[in-house]
Amino acid sequence: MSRPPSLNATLLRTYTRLHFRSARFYTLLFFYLLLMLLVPALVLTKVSPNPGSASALLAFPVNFFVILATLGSAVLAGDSISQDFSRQGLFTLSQPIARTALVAARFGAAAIAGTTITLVYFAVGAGETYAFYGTTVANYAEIAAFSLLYTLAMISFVMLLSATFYRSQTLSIVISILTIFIFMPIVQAILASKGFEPWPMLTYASGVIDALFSPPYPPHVQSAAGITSYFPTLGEGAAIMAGYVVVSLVLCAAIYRRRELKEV
Amino acid sequence: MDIALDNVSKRFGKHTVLDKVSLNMEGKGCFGYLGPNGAGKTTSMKVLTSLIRPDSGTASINGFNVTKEPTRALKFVGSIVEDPEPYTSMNVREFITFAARIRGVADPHLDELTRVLDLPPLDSRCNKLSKGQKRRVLLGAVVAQDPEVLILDEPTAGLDPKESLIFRNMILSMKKEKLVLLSSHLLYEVTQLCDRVTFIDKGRIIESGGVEELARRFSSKSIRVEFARPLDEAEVAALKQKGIATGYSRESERTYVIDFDGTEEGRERLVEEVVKLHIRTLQDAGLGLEQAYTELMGGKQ
Repeated sequence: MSRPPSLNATLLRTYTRLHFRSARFYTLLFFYLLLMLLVPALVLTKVSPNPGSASALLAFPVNFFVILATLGSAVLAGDSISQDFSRQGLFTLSQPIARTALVAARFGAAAIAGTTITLVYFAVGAGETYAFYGTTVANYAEIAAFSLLYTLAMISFVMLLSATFYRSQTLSIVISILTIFIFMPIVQAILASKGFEPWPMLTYASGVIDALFSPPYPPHVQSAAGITSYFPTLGEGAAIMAGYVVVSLVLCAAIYRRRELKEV
Repeated sequence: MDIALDNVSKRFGKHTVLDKVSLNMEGKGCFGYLGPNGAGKTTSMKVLTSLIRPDSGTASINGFNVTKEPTRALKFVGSIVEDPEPYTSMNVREFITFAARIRGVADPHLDELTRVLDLPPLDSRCNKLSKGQKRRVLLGAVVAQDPEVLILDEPTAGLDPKESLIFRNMILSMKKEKLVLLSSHLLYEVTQLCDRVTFIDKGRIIESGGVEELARRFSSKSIRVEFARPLDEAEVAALKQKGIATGYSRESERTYVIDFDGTEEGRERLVEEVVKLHIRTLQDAGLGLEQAYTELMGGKQ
């Protein structure tokens, strides 16, 4: 008789499979592709003129990526922890599985789904530019890599919110969106106005993606009219995003371990 | 195989749900856990399955503290507590196989489970199943995990008679090899399945003992007699006058419920006398465990 796969492999494979058969995965993929294919479709149908360069063709989908990835991550991972506090959790949480293993598997599965969508998005983008101009934009691989890292950071951050606001999947999704689009930019602006570098904000790090797409890359520190402003370096941007992945997952696991399933 | 709760207390806000509950169950067999709604049965089972933590006291399975070493303790346990749901986007085969694999069981013996539990088609999506089918799939998952200890919280609640029978047969079969902790509102089910029973009310253990022992201790002090002919009430009244019966009530012209002093001798004397009046049937008027439940819980259902 063959040995069953390890517990971690079983969890990761199962949760990944659930993502890949969910309607939300294909809905997200559809919207990502719609955005990426919108400009070429308008050009091919002669609704819009040819933008004339690879960077102009990709300007809209790349500039819009941070918003798209934020929404996409909220949808992919918004209920990753809160669903364990539903009736399904009565089964899951009474199994001999460490909650850290569940967090790791849930993150791994959402990360694989998010990575798949992001890579398809950028692969299609590359295909478009090669089809139209026989080349693509400079730094395209770096842009895609940072976009992927931002997606992973967002997924882990949304999981942290899902563990915190575990009673409602909708609430965790809404709060993650509000945090990224309202709370973080406000805090970032306040820190910047006080002359502090807003490195704790993921939105600050996400500026790397647009900056890579629109060279020249801004200097780390700029002073004008007595105001000092900051822009993340590539290394700093990567470190902030990676830090979000690690810190969010550690906090998520710590909160999740303390949670009880009193009511479903 | 053992399950233990040692002075376990749990509060939800100001409400004490478990108040220094201590329980100890060892060896194979089926242990009934009885009490009215809100008595603390489900909370006890949630503590034992690590779904909630006790405020004080310890819960252990096979000697492993459920709170401190949940993965070790829960390796021995298969459970259906409250009303769990299988993963809705999996089909039956996938869910049971998943349940088995997370316990390191390579082959969940799906064909045998399908036959014994009358599982729905294995390719059916779990979100398309009825409540009874979902419950059978969950039982299939628990059986596939082959645990030493089963914790079942009102497993037949809301099921139709056929589905309930499948559950009862499975429990009867499993209790030969495993320790089963069963909560139920159905006293006949507990009588049929359990060897021992514990009563809990308002978060406190009221009574524990063997089912037969408790049934005997709380057995009825009345017998119901169906006579072979319509009986003149005066003949029954005479039993009371002789001091053999302590009272009686007439249910029909042939059937009477006759009370006695509750002793074994008193019962024997009463039976001797009524037999002389030509009877068709005779039985205890109370139902043993039901009588115990009623007396211990003050009539709560």
